[in-house]
Amino acid sequence: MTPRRNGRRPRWRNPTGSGGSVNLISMMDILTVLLLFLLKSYVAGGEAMVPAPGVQLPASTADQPPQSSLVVAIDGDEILVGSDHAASLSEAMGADGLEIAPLSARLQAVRQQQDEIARLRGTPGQAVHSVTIQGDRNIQFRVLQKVMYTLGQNGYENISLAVLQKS
Amino acid sequence: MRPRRRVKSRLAKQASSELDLMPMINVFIAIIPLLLLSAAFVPVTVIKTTLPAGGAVAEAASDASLDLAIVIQPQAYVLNVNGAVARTIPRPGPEAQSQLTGALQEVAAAHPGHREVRIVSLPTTLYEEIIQVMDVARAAGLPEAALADGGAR
Repeated sequence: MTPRRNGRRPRWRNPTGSGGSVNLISMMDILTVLLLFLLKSYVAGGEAMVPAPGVQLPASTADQPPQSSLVVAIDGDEILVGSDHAASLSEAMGADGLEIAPLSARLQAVRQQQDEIARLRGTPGQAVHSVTIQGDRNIQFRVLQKVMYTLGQNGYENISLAVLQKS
Repeated sequence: MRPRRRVKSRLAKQASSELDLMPMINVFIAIIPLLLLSAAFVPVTVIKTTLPAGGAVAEAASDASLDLAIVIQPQAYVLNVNGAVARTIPRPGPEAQSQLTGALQEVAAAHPGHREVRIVSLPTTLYEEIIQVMDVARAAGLPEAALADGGAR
């Protein structure tokens, strides 16, 4: 409270009567706690992997954290490499053998890029060709088998299956 | 003139005593939605696996002392030990997975140090069922699961 002289309001005071500024300290407290919580979850979580849109991963008791790798997602309609469409499921099932040709072409392009990056970094031949498959829980084994075979044919033999951790 | 100067100087003191938090709030409001969008609240984990063996029957590695396979059939889990059917567990049922865990634990206890198991699936077997069997095998002490194709059998 500002002291009043003779019961008069001082001239310099804000005529609206409000303080002129909103008390933001409580909001800052909330934002700081939220920020610290989010940063801590990042530090504790290591490499964070987000499932591809439309893919419902199966639940599992596995607790191995994901590594940084190429992601191949299989949903009900298509196969994605990274976030790009590589082949449709009908193309994959229509192929005669186990190899899916459009997926194979896409993987070769990605592999060349990885090798080129490794060469530019000065570590040729040391590019890690590991891959994580994000498969929808309702896909059939024959789809998974064809995708894994195609990955193996293109030099991706270090394969991990992404799952949601059961609580 | 003097009183006015005093008032001005008092005002200046009051203004300087408050922290200007708006730039900090602006930064927080930009960072927090970004972090919330990219945060994974349901943790994604991975299961390491090996490539499926081609052909109807995947041969066990020559140096393996034990060839242990779980065949996922539509009506049963069939446990094969060295090519012979050791046990058939009807499924689906509430006890199927616990029975399979028990059977695998018996095999694992009889062969200490053995960590590999082959999961033989039919082409129409769902991915979720394969993951469930992998979980059962891991719980029984056989963490290294390889996928294999059971063909049309």
